[in-house]
Amino acid sequence: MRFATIGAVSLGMIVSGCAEKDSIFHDRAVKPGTEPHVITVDAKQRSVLFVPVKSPESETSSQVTTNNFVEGTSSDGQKGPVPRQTVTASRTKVGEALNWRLCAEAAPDVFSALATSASGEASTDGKTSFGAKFGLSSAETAATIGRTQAINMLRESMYRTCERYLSGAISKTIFVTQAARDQRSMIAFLAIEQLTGAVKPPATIISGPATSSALGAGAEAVKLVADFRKSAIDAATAQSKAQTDYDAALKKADCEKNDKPAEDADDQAIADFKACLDAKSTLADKKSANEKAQTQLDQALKMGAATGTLAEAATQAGQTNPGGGAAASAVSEHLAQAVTSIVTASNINEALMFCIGYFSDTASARNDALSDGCRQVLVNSASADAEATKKLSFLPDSAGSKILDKIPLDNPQPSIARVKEALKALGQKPSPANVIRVTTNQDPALSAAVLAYINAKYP
Amino acid sequence: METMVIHNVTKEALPKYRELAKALGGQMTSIAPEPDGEFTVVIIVPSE
Repeated sequence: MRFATIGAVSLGMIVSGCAEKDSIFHDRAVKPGTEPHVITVDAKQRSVLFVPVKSPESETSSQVTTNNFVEGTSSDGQKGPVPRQTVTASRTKVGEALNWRLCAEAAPDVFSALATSASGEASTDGKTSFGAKFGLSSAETAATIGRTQAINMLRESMYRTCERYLSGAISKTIFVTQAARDQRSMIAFLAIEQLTGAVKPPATIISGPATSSALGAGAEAVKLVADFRKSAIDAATAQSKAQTDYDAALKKADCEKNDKPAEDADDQAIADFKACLDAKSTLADKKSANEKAQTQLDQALKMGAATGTLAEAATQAGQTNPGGGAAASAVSEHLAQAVTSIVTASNINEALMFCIGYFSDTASARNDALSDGCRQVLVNSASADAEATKKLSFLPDSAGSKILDKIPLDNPQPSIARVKEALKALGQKPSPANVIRVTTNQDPALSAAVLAYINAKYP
Repeated sequence: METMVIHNVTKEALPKYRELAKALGGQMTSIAPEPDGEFTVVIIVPSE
């Protein structure tokens, strides 16, 4: 009974230990109060950083509100309805945490697969003895997730931006501007990557044999290791002695360079040579025995390793695809032009982004020169947008209007086909949107040309 | 799909644009009156 209890407790301890070892989620409470906190991690886990944002110095304020009337005596002594006043006070402690800033790392670049198995065995003779064995093995394989350099760059860039904001290195205003820059960069990255071919290294895979530990057989493993260790020491000693004997024999007769004694050798020289050969053979045997003993000791140590720290790992290194796509020399020039166009394309409106961020931070919106300038930037931007939306306008008596008149309500398709035909003949895309644009006279010359084409071909 | 905003559409031209949008595979999604009696309409049509 005592053994069973010990076994059960041991099993429980082992299983609970595994839960901590292989879990990928650790929910560690953020410390209350004002202390920054970080949740940490290894390669297959990510961290989420929390930093409390402290309030600026504030004073206790009070406010008087009138919310209804009650029966009472007014200030001039007359009875009747008088306003009921409520005094509310709000307090904010200096340095009190109002909210949190947080940065969560992007999804991991590696994943791992875990396999665990357990086995148990118990035996008893029904009287005095009880035996139990418990075996546990686990194996883990890890691999990287191949991502293109553009994706990696964006992940890193955005996370570092968050870190800078978290640490107060940049303001909310700059954060907004940076987000717009990231968006612009994203388009450029993806466009160029599609043109030139993505550089994406294949995954690296790391796998190892299952590490196992057997609690019940632990004593046997230890004994086995001790035996092999003794054998290895004995073998090493024997090899050392054989080496000494061989060195001594070599001084009397050199059997290393010669395979037989000299022809004029006397009996003593022949005997010395024979002794040298014997010593050489003995040394070879001892060497072989020593190597075998060392191998057995290594195997015993691996079998007896309880924690799996001796697991061998096999690594398949990834190879880098140089990218570059399948661009032949004939299209290289066009490719280069396209990339150049993307890189030199109009950038984001930094001033507009800055002003949006500036005004979104109410604390910084003041009646100063910068605020006035930002207001002007926003007004100009809104005006430009408004102008852009007014491009499409119905103009009576225009060429576009005349084209629209040629499209009957009950059977519009043939007329629309003619407009598309004219557009195609004039080198324009015969898309539905262009048909609308022609009827709104957005490009008067084009509308006039389309009208002339239709009138000439379908009078 | 493309969204197109057309201003200053007269009352007479409204049904024409509605049918035109339909015939082009799209539709007129919104009509807003302008102070001068004309209309601003929103049309969505396929890109191709």
